[in-house]
Amino acid sequence: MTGRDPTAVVAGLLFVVLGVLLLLEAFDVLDLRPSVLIPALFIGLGVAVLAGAARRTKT
Amino acid sequence: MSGPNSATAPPRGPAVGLVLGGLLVLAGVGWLLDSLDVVDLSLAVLLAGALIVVGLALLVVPGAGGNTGLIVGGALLTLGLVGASAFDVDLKGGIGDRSFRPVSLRALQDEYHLAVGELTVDLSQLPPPRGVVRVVATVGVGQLVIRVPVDVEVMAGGRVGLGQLRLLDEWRDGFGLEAETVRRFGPRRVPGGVLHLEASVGVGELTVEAG
Repeated sequence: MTGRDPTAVVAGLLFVVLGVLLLLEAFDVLDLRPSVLIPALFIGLGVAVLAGAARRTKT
Repeated sequence: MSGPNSATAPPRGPAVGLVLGGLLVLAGVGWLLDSLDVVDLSLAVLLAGALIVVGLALLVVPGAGGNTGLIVGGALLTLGLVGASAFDVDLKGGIGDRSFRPVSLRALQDEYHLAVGELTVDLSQLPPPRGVVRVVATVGVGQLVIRVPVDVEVMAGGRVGLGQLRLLDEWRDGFGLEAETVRRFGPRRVPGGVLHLEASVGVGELTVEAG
């Protein structure tokens, strides 16, 4: 992952994980509750923002 | 596209083109297979697939991370999908305006779905059913209108994630709306014959009215 933008890596991972979860929900394999999904989304976005801030601090 | 900053800017590569092309191919193949009845795809499945493609592009395609458009696009897809999940938006069916008017019990479908748009299910010309006849109708985002015959017993359950709910005599607006009602009508009513409706709209307006 050397040279990769950490924000993009975290956002990419977040999108893939969320996409898979939402795909499973669409196929009725999972029943995602908003009370779990929305806080998880906030955590993921927060980590992406923190990763970007940490990179900017380094440079 | 060389500019004043081109010497210092990181190479971005054709990431957006790759992702857009991939998404178009994915959407086209999905649509085609759905049209040919090979698979039954909903808008939710396609959007979740698109989100996975955007995520993979950010992880795999060189230079994709430098493109803010991909992250913003992924964020918008995420907000749409999470919002749809939070408001219980059922994204089955297509997009547009659909209208159904079955005049016999044989022509009546068990389920009517529309992802986005206006769906009208006019059951007003339906003959009185013998026994319980159950009909499910859903709209993800938009308007759902169901007209019931004036001379049958109707059991109707309605649910709206965000918007307006008008269920025969009941009217509500707001979010997380649910209501149930039973109405007995007129002289042609067959004893034991019940039209059982289950209707839901994610975001928008649900109307069940006597036709």
